Amino acid sequence: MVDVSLTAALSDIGEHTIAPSRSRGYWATVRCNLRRDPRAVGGGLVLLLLVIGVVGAPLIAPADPYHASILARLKPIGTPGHLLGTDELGRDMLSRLLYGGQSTFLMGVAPVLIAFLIGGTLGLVAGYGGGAINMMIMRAMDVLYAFPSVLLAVALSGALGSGIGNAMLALTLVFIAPIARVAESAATEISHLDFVDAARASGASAVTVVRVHVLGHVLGPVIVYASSLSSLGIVLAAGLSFLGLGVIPPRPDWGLMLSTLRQSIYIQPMIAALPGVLIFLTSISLNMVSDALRDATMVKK
Amino acid sequence: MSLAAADSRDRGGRAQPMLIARALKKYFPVRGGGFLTRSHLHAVDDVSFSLGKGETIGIVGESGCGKSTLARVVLNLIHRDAGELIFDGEAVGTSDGITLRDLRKSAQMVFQDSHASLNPRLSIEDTLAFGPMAHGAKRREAVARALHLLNLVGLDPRRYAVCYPHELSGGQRQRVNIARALSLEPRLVVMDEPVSALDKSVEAQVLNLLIDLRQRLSLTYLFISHDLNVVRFISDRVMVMYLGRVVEIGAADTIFRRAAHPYTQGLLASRLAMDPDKRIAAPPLSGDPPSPIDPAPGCRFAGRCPFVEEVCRVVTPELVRHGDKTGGKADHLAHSERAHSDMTHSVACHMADAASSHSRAGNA
Amino acid sequence: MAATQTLSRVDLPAAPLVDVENLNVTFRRDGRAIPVVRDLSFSLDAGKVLCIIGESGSGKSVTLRAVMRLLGKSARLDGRVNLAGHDMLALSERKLSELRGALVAMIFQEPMTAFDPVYTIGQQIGETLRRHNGMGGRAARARAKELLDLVQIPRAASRIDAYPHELSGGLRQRAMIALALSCRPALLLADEPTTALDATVQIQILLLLRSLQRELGMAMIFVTHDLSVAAEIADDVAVMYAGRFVETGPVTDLLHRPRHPYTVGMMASSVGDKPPGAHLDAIPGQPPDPESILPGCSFAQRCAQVSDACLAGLPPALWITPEHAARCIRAVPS
Repeated sequence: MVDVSLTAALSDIGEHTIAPSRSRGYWATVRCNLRRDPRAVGGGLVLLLLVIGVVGAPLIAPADPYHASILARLKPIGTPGHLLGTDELGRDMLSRLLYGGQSTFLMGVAPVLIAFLIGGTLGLVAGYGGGAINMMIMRAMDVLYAFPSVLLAVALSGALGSGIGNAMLALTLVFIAPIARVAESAATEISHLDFVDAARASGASAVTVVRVHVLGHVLGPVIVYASSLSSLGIVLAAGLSFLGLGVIPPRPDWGLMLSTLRQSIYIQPMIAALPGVLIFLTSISLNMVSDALRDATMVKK
Repeated sequence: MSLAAADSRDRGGRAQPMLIARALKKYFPVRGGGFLTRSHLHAVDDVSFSLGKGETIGIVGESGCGKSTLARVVLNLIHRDAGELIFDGEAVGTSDGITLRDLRKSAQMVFQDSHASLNPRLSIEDTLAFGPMAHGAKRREAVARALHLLNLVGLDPRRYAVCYPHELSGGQRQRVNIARALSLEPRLVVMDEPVSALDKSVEAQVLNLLIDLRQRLSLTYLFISHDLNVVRFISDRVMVMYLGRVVEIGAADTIFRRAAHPYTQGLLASRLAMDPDKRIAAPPLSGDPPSPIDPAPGCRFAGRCPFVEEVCRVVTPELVRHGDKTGGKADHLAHSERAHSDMTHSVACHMADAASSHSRAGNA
Repeated sequence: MAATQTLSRVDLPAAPLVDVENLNVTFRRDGRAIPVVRDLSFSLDAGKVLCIIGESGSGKSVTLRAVMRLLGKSARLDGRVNLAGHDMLALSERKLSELRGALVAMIFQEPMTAFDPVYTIGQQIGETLRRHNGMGGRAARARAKELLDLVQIPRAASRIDAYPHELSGGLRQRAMIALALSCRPALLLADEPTTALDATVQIQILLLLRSLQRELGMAMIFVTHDLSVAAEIADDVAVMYAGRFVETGPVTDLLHRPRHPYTVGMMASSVGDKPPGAHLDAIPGQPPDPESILPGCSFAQRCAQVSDACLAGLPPALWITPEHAARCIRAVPS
């Protein structure tokens, strides 16, 4: 009851709630909202640390991730020289985790970015174009959408063969359809509003109208959705590697490490859990940032 | 109703109407109906009129009459299904006629103020600069134009140019809508319910502005509204629409003093007076307008008309000249294409058509 | 019955149905207190119609909801609201929900939002009847059909099973009135119910409300922005501006001899019968922002006859006749 009547009251007041100072633009307001949201700050910080670690692996990693030593197998956490212990082949865990993050991030996030570009464009065109264009594009998306994402990823990966490139391709294809749907729904909603009609009436080309008027409204929901999808991407990427469909050993990768450390779970359970912990941290930070983005973009006028 | 100065963009001359619409049709397919047959919503059905330069035609009708669709068809924002549109002597929508780009610069639209008429993400000056920039103007020039336009519509550019729509009141937003329509320096402005959403005290301000601009910029208006008083106030001629068809057209004064169509009479009688001594005893028209989907043959108003007879349900009445005892379809359109403004009072009613079999034919 | 301030009333036949005294409604937003209704007092006898006229920002809709206490937690209500002897501001939520529908009902501008789209109108009217009157299913349905007939919905027997979206705007509005009247409330609150309707339908609904109100002996508070609507159905009129009543009185007095510059301005600026193309006497400026109300008369900045005295303090209500008052120092020629 609270918000309904307040909104009614404020609309009774009319549009007179003028901000005392000059109003910021929409994106400036979003940035400001994000800065004040603990989820964005916290999640962002964790992600930043992870990214720094992963990207700076060549500088930070204490040892060669490929250097194996049978004698040094499964040393526990805190062993001098091996801060996080060693894996089943005696390789330094810290180094392998840092380098492993590279492929996990690449496989998890890059497909989302590419799908964001492709799916976003397709959805935008379908939403603004309407009619036959919309039907053609969205029915094509429906075909992809019909499959559960994990199943589709596994099937595509299996068909294409293992390797990072193929895994990325599979995941990209999986993500295009849901992003296209979000983009299309936002674009359709906006395209029917009067100000878009007015923009068309001014004689601007469709590209200009979309760029100036429609894109801004579509970007918000799509970015929010893509950020939540990236957390799924990380998990799927790790999952594919776990199943042997992603990274090819001996290249380090969190998912692959989970798989290979499985047998050692009774000997060094902490070490076996480490890659999982990192996957969890990444995924949850991405989720938190995504939630914060969703709330930040809902600027109530 | 005169041209203040010779307009350099004027191609056809004074006698050439600014706009000629002939038999415009726009049907929207709707779901339902059978599997093989398609139902259609008759939004605009065989509408013809001609609009002289410097003239204002008011289009009046209730919801569902098709006036908003007509506005968009006239500007080629929606493609018509049939009929012709001629802008200052050049055909619209054909390969040898006026280009879409030129049409857009010459004919613009003022939308009803709603929260969706201005892009909430753009500042006022960005919204106003969009049109000129889309036609090649540099940003600086376009912004300067935007500031000038704000002045023209009575808003202080220093204060309002950098504001966002949600900071403005309804009346101020509507002024911005008007400024946007003028940003490309059009000759014809179509206005779709420009004052309907405004408070009464603001409505008067905006009407004053529209009249002032019409005079200053030698504009031609197509003014669409459901408010009869406003239409009478601002129009030279009035066209009454019902369920997609024109039921009456003529000089504003004639329509308001001597309306011939029963629907127009009902509309006029439904107006409320501001005088408690002049209360209305019984509703002039009962019921609601029927659905514009697949309308039955005959006169669309038959279901609510107090004078309905058998012929009304079978034969669709055409526009005939009112007071013409000889009957037959008025060639008013051809006549008005020759004259630069035609004040002929025409009615689409069997009672006005002396040649129809209605018992009151020729006596309306 | 005119709006009264502090004058005592002499020899009333019965206590008024609605008695509001010094009503203040303040909204909390972002830590600021926004006064939307300021020091409002009025009373309404049973069976009479009061029209509150105001534009956006005047606080008219908030006033209406305050009478029924439909405002949320962010609103603070002060003062006294007495409805048929019940102190509305002191009652518990449970007692309030018993009164809502039975004693006082409300109809809104947009009928689509008043109805639940997944139930038929027959079911929704029946639900109210069962809740307040304790009627059984079949009796409720029969009564619902009666109500639909009462509001002149054609073919009520089949329409009772229609869903809200299947009805046209005018019919939906009638169905909403049927819903509101189902328990024969003593007071009907109407929040711009005809603003969104076409002219030919508006007059039908207004006349329907007028005849129902007379037939059922119901009092009505009707909020609108249109003076001509008030002319059509009101017994008394209150013109509201920036949260206060600026002029009150019987409809004939007020509309024939308006005294407050705002009322005068509204009437002068309406298109009405003015000659085509003439310059309208528009009221300059726009309604004030509730957050930045200055002391003195709220209309001062837009008033053509403003003087220093107007800005000094709130003008008192001056009585032109025992029933017609205006808050303007020029209301009564001295």
